[in-house]
Amino acid sequence: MSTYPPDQVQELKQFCDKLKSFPEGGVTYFLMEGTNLPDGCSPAKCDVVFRPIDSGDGYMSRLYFDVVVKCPYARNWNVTNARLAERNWHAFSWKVNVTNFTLAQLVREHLSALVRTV
Amino acid sequence: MEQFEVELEEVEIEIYATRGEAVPRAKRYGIRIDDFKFTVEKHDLTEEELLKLAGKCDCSHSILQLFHHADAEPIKPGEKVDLHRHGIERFATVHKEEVTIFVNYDEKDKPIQVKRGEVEVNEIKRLAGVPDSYTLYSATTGLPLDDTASVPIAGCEEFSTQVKGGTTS
Repeated sequence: MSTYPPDQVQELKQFCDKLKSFPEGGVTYFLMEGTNLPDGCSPAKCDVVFRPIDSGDGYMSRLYFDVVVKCPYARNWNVTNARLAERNWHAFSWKVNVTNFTLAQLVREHLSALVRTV
Repeated sequence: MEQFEVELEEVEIEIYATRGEAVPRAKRYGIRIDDFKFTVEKHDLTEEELLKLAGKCDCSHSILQLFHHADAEPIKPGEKVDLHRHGIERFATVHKEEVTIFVNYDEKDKPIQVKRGEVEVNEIKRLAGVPDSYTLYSATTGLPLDDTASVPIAGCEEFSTQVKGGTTS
């Protein structure tokens, strides 16, 4: 199971009200409760699970939302009701190809996908 | 016979301006900025120092010197206001029409001038020389901004940038 630099984990707190990590299937996930979403999204805040590595689905990192977020641009929500930490989660297809992003930069990149044309 | 000017403990410049008298030398000067009174320990002050007292910044506000029975006068860049100058009654802060905001790109904080109000994110990126391949983020919230959306600008806002590193599949 991966461990992450404490300063990088701390940085994730800027996005949400409450942060905790949990292991599942040999992968460390971050549960970010009350994550603020970009302007133009509805709801303005929701719970998010962040997976910083590839767990075998071909995505180097992934952000799961507890609701399908309404945003200005149509996204391909290709994961619905994924079961993590005994809750259901949704994710849209967004592949981050940059390999040297910090944890916070990865989350920023995934959040920016909600308000980007492509 | 040689004359010595007596230095008073504290004077309020507004009282002397109202009376039409010169402000005497003092250890402390009472001044008014907008509706608030402040005490300063020197007679010459820059615009930046006056704004700091008022809790404002020159990226969004400027200061006017208000003279008793006379017009208001702005403070020129680099100029020091001499509280002994005849007639200065008080000061007023003014929200600038053209304000300064800061965009961090390429590890440098770049100040740019924009008109106060709603400004399109693309315009901020253009003025700061940020390429399309970067996303602009609010430094206050850390959240990304839609290139085609507008953001309210009052002055002093800070933005960061990050290369767009993902794509839909």
